Amino acid sequence: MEAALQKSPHTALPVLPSRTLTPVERVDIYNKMYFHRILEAMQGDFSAVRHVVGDEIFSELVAAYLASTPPTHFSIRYAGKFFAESFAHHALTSAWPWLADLARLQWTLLAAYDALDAPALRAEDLSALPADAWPTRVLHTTPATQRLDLTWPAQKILEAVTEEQSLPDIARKATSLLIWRRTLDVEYRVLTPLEAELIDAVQKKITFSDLCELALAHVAEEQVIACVGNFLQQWVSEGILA
Amino acid sequence: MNDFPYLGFGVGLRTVHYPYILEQIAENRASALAVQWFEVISENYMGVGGRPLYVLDRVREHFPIVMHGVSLSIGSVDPLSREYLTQLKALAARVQPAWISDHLCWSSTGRHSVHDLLPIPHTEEALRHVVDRITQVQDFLGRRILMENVSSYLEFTDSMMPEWEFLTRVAQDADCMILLDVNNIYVSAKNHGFDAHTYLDAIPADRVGQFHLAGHSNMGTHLLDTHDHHIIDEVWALYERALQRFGNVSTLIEWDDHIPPFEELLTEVSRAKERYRALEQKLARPGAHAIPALAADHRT
Repeated sequence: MEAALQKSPHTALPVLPSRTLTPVERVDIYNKMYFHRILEAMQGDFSAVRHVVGDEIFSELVAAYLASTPPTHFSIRYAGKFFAESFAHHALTSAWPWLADLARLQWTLLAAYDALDAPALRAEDLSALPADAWPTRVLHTTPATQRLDLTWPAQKILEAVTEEQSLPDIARKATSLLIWRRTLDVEYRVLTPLEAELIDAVQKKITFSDLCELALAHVAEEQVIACVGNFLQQWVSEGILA
Repeated sequence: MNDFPYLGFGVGLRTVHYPYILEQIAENRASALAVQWFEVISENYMGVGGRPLYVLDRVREHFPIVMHGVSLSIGSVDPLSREYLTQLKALAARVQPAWISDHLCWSSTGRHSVHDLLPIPHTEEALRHVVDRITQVQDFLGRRILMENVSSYLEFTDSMMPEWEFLTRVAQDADCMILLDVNNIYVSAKNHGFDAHTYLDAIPADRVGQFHLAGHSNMGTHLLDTHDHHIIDEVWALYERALQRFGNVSTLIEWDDHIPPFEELLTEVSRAKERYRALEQKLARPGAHAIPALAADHRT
């Protein structure tokens, strides 16, 4: 819009001047408000990213993002949906190589925060399941349950920012996270490759017997039921199964 | 005069106040909140769950709720969003709001949302377009809605009538109500050089269902509707005139940026109540849908 305004002769705009402003200046009020409204929303959504890079660079990142990816959703809540990807290969990544991962983490935490409500499976629901119904019991996760694979352990950066500590030096390390909401509060933890694979399968919906089959690739046959059973127990206690 | 419900004095439900409001409700001190209703931004609760909806449900148990949208984009030439309307209707079914409102503006073009309230040219063509769309929305929702006048920073060369005439004809032709933002009238009057009293006096009394009051910023060359300051004296004076003209109309204090603690927000509510009390005996429709009692500041 800014470029269009600069190129546009005053007479081309179907706008009247005011006592104090030209037509271009009047349209530019909206131009600036558009940017600042979205910037403000994204400052909240990506507070840790903003903290790391500072207001000026954050503002530049948002400006570049909006130029390439203007919002399409009716709610400003989703304006930052593709923000992390927009600077994944930015020069900034030489100073903060984990910056895009930090943005992905914040966005995913937000997704868990206000995802649709759904009743979580309770331990007594599983206890009440007849033995012959277990193999075909379909497992899936609640809408608030999120999986995130990062190239860097960006959660350590987020924790440092949240606790107002200095940023730690972190080494590149593939990190699988489970992010979920227990009643109203969002939690996360790091997963082993096996648990990450199993939860990914549950997110797509899978029967108990197929889940055990999947685990067989990693666990001895005699340990499979106990292994999957332990995972189920933990997932139920965390409230991630629907 | 009109028979629209009267709720008294309300404020917007904002995230920063969630802990305070929940604490008061949990301790059976909802009356200490000293407001009679809350207005929510519809989009903040559409298609979501978790804490936002939980808080809304708790507040709903103690106060009437009004749903106020910012993305209906009634003036856009894009087709009305079926997804948006479906989610809006679903939220209304859950919340059972006293009423639903949005803005007389456009906020989307093509596939893009501008997340702002852009003015509509005041032409016969735009009038027919907007009336047709409000009619569609009201049919879909099964209820009348309120359209709010926005603050504006430009005027179109093609406009054929003043804003107050456009707003009035929209309301009459679409049979919708008006959410009259007193601060927006003041801001636009200053920006465009018209008389705010002329605007107020032209709006039909039977169409106004709610007032908005807010602060704004003086940018030197224009006023900006920022909702981040106390309400200025000139807007309070305009509000008094609006009370005298429109009578018992529910009033909402808007504060959306640099939001102060809830108690400070209540000082603005008190100022509005003081003006209401001073004029109470002279107001139109006295007692018709009178405030239950200003002493009882919440629904019991």
